[in-house]
Amino acid sequence: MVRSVEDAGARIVRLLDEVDLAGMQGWVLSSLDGRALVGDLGGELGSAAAVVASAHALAARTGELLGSGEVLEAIVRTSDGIVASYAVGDAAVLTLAVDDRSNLGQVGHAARQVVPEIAGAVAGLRPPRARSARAAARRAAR
Amino acid sequence: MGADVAVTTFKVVVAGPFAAGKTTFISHLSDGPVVNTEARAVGDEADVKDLTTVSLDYGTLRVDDPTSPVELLLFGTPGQERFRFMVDVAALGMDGFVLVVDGGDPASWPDAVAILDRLRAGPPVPWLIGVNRVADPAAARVVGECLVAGGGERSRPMAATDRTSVVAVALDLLLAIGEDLAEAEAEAEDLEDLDDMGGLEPRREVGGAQR
Repeated sequence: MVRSVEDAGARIVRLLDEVDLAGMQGWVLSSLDGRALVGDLGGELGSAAAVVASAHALAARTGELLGSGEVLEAIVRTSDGIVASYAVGDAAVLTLAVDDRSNLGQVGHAARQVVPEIAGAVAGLRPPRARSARAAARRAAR
Repeated sequence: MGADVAVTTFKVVVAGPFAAGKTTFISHLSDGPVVNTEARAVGDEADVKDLTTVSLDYGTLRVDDPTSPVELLLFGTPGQERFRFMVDVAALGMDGFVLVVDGGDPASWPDAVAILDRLRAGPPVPWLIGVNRVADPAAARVVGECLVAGGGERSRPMAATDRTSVVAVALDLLLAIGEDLAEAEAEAEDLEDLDDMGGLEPRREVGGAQR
């Protein structure tokens, strides 16, 4: 049972291990409002989450203006590989980064194995918060 | 693996008209390198500046408190009207916002008002007006009051290029967010108390094991 972002993270790690995507460079699960929930990337998660959320929103707007339906995935092909983001329910995005050992089909296949497994559980998850954010803010602002 | 779980994060949107100083504000506020999505400006806009934000700027400000560190996640938006939808994108789930305006450029103020209206259309959050290129608090208040009734008391003079002044604005907003949360928590507690007394809920059977 997934109750926290840590649980969700552990579940994703297990699922990604099972699909064993070649050339896996990292992943991040982020909320649509641009906060990192959990992930494992070479770099810092926060920036990735912020950019992914914006890119996803842009993709959604592009789909709205030029295409049809809801955005299911947004793909970036780079000189070194692929970064692909997948909608997880209506509040989160899972982003996978692979190098050139995997192709688009393989990344899509991996995502189809993982996303449905976590979609229900991820709905409603929020980033961890301190027990009293108010007190923290007050102390910090002093 | 994973994010630092002990940190409380607050999402702060930095919005304002074209060339108000939003990217500069975030650059001087952020601890680490800022993620910019800037592109070369063309046409009339190139006369104002070389590069312009087309999607977002992202930076963070860590406020260290030994027991519960706080991190502000700073989301900067593009200023041009054609990118206005990015303001809605950034506003999703925000805890507060700073409207950056150029105090010396009244021509940009109507645009600032339009952006402010857009940001206030969503769930209410604490906000401040950072009046850039104005050093005098009274002058900043005048600018704020020109933008919106009651805007004066939310206005802070600042120089986007000066870290001390932008940090002061950010901490002021953090304090307002804290106060807002305090009120929300107090209300939640009141509701719980009411509930304990049987308040709004139908009174339950009081068994032997209960009080």
